[in-house]
Amino acid sequence: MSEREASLPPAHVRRRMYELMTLIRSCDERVRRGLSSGEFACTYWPATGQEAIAAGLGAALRADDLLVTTYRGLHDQVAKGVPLGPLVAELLTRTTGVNKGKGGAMHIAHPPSGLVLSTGIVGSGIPIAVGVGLAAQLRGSGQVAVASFGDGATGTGSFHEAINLAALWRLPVVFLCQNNGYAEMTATAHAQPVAAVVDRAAGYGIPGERVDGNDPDTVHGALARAVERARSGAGPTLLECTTFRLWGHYFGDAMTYVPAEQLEAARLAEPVARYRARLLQDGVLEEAVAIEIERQALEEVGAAFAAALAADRPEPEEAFVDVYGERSGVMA
Amino acid sequence: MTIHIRIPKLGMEMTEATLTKWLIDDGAGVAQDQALYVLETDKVESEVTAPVAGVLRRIGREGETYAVGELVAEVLEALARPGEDP
Amino acid sequence: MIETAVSDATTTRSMRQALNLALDEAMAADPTVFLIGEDLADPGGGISQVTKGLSTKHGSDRVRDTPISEAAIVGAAVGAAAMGMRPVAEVMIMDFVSIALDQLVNHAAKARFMSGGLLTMPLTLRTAVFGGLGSGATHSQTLESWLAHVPGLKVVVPSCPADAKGLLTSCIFDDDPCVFVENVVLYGTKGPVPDGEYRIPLGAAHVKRAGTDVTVLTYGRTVRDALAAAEQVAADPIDVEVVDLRTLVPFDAETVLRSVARTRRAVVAHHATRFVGFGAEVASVINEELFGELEAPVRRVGARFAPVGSAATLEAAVMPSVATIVDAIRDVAAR
Repeated sequence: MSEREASLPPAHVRRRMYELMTLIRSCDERVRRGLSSGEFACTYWPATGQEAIAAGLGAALRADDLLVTTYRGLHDQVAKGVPLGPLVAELLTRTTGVNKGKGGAMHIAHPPSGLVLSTGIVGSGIPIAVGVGLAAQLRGSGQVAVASFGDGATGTGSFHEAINLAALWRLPVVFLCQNNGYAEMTATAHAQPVAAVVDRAAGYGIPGERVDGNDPDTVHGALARAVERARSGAGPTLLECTTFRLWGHYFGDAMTYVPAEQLEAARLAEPVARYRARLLQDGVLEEAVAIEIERQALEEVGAAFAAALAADRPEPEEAFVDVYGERSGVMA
Repeated sequence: MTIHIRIPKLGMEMTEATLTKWLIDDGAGVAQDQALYVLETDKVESEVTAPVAGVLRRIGREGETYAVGELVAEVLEALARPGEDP
Repeated sequence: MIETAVSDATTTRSMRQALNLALDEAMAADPTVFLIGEDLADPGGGISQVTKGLSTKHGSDRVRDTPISEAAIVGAAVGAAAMGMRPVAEVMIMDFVSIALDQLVNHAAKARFMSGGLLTMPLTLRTAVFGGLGSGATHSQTLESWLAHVPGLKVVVPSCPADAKGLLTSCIFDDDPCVFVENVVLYGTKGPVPDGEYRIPLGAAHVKRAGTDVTVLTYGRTVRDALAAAEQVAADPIDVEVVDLRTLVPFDAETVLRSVARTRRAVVAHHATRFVGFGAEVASVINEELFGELEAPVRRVGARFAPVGSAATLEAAVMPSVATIVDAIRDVAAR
């Protein structure tokens, strides 16, 4: 067995990761097509191009491990196991959504699958993930908390305070930075004084690793190592996965700030097609199996959207439910 | 199946946009994700793409301004890809 | 939920001691309760010694000293609460709550709603007003009305040791995020505190002094000033009823309106600025519900609209006092 083969995940894990990437991409495409044709309107921050990171995450975590992600989180949410039908329904703010249509695309929360919450405030999920890890440490549960965030979040005070605290207390947390080259409309190089996000790890006394975020095998390996380290009580890791954001900050972003050649090259090297080709080459997939995976994903996504579009939006009275556990006495 | 093509909401503040240019002839075939028309807001110009493959029926007119959600075209979904035998 | 006390027996304690007891008993009763904040552990036991002895008794795992990181303190509390624990976080001085506002307002307050009920936030945030010590404008603010303005937060302001114990215990065991506003000026004040476990339901105002002529609605450190003002005007004669709101949210409109419907004259008093202070809301509610029955417009007493200067003369110039409350009472009584 070659050195490269020895370091790869087992075949069934690689197949699983391709399934996840395909499902994520199908869902993302369906959202973008629906938005583009005006079939529906929802706020959407595409993670197109970042599927490999999510696939590695989904395959490396235990079912009872925990994830806090962001508004650019569809890929993470699918990979963690949030059920697709209710997830899509929440994007479209239907009562059948995971959060009854009340959180919407930016705030997906599904504790049963370990997706604690998603945040619309850049960086704010990171201290929350630290609190999740703290609970795991206090309980001795062996669970690991992953904070998934972008390069833009590394400039926030929240990022600093959270990593500082987690490192100090050796909490079972993995800080997963999806560096897609841009924070909103600003290139990463213009938003940080260090060359790589991972350069910051040393400042907190924790290990850091920087990997090709478009290679699910590499992501899986690095995440598995970081998760194991956290679970063993050795503390957090800062894992930087480099990737590219193929469809801008928000849906409709014309991406005028991205050099055209760079975008074209990134689109040609996009990770889903690349991984498909690699798995065929390695004999992990056959063409017929790949096609079947893709067909199933399309079917599952189609069914999820059809169901969501047929469902209702929340009734007006729902606006006042779950503000508190019981009445607040406020004459609203 | 007939798929409705409406003015999309590109960005949170957008309420209307101008259909500046059709890129596909009326009655012509179009592939999935192929650009259908150019849409202009005060912020940006974008190409809007077809969600499915099929035959285009134009409704909107070049130079007109439409509200988000207004119907500007239909695509009659193809059972086979354009250029193939059905 | 009614007020619960194990027995009628009470012991005289300072507010500091009452708070310490509430925390101690809660931690003993429920292993998911833990404290997180700056300088909480022994030997210091907190900047005002409210948490003294707790790390020694319950362990430093459950009394977590943090770096100076208000966003991480409250954010970690949010994450732990999401996992079903009952964190009691501390922001040492209320002015610093601004650093933690994102976690408090955008996350703690809204998690239950945005998740459609899948998440709850059973966290308590203790913080203390440091006004009255000459510390200057960034260490003297009374900011509870900022937080009462956020749907999803509960805001609790005790005025005496018994209420401090009963309300803090209720906050800790409440399943919603509660901001518990202490006041450094009150820590040393003493009063009878029921022995044993004691809970005061949130959303229950308390008539601290029954009266017939004028209602003074107040909370926190201003209650003592209102009671002193009531004693002063008793000889006029004006018989003042002092209603201690105890919780701003949940708001006990019923007790407020029942009192003012009887007296028909109301003064609202607090140490926060009068302009856009919580008193504005109370006065509006009275106005809307009892308009035709009032003998006088509702008067509000609060701090003047300026930062709190460090010199004692400047602080006194902006802060309400027994005298300003007396003036307001006499003003509505004269109409």
